[in-house]
Amino acid sequence: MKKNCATIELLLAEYASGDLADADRALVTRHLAGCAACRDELAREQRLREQLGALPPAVCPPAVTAAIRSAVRAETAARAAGRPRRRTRWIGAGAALGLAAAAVLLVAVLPERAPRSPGAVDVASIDSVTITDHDRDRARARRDVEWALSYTAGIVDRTEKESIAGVLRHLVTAGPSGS
Amino acid sequence: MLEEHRDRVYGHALYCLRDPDDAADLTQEAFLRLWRRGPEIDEPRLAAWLMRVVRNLCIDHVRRRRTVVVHFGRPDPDALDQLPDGDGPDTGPSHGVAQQESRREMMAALATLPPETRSIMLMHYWQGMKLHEIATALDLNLNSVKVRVHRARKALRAVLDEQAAETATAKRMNG
Ligand SMILES: [Zn+2]
Repeated sequence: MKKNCATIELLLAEYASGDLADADRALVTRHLAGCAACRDELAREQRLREQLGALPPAVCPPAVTAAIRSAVRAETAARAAGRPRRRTRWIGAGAALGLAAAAVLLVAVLPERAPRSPGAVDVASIDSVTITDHDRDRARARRDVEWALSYTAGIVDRTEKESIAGVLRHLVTAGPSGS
Repeated sequence: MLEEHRDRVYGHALYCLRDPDDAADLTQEAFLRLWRRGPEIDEPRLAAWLMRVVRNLCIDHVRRRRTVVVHFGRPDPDALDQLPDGDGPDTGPSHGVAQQESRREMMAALATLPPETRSIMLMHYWQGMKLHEIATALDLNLNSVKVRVHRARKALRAVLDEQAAETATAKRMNG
């Protein structure tokens, strides 16, 4: 009976929502008739369904809709102008640190285009390296940034590595041909 | 398209994260991703695709925030107060207070679940997605979704029962 209950319990959510196929539904109904424990579990399921279902619908604020529209417009304009989007919003302290390190490395690999004060956390300068060059140079810069990323990633912790990877992916994959 | 899906996306993020600003950011990110993918996502798969994206964004966000919470405190517990009240005929002032309290407890209970499971619970119980639809949207095995829902139900009930016991004790102490 115990093993049977475990099987039935897994079906209770769909039983309560009316989504079970006839055969399973009949199986559950039969079991419930003879099992008080599963009837209790069904009651808990129904109570939870009521409570979670009673959470009111949320309304997306108009300002958010407006922000989405304007972000889309900005990206459209940037693509039309042959420049990828700039999104630095998600950069946290850890990622900024990593970017600073990446910037230092970029000084080494792209001396003619890199920022002259590598000590500063100059995210915009990395943007300009990867964004404003011609296609051929952009491809090279992209490889360089990826190399700098893999090097930098080794000296920061895993969480930071992930944010840096995310941020740099944004920067290096952005572009008219990017996704 | 934006009008049709934005409330679900925003609501999912809001209930998942309990922070209107974060929910707004995630909603924007989700729709930007959709826009970038463009015609790749056909209309029938759109809702499921958006749910998958917002769920992934929520999970990432919770993971990132975990380290921050230590320094800057918990998410805003009053975020729920900004939600609209039910507009049923019996909505009066005292009803509203009880309703808000109950929402707050449910939100606090939800927040104890891992974000992956939290999203599944919201999709099924709040957004009315069927379990097999959730499995498809999230590329999960149906049985694994059933197991998660079952475990989450037990976990939520345990937290809610504990909250109820605490409230009862507090009332006895005050009364
Ligand atoms: Zn049973």
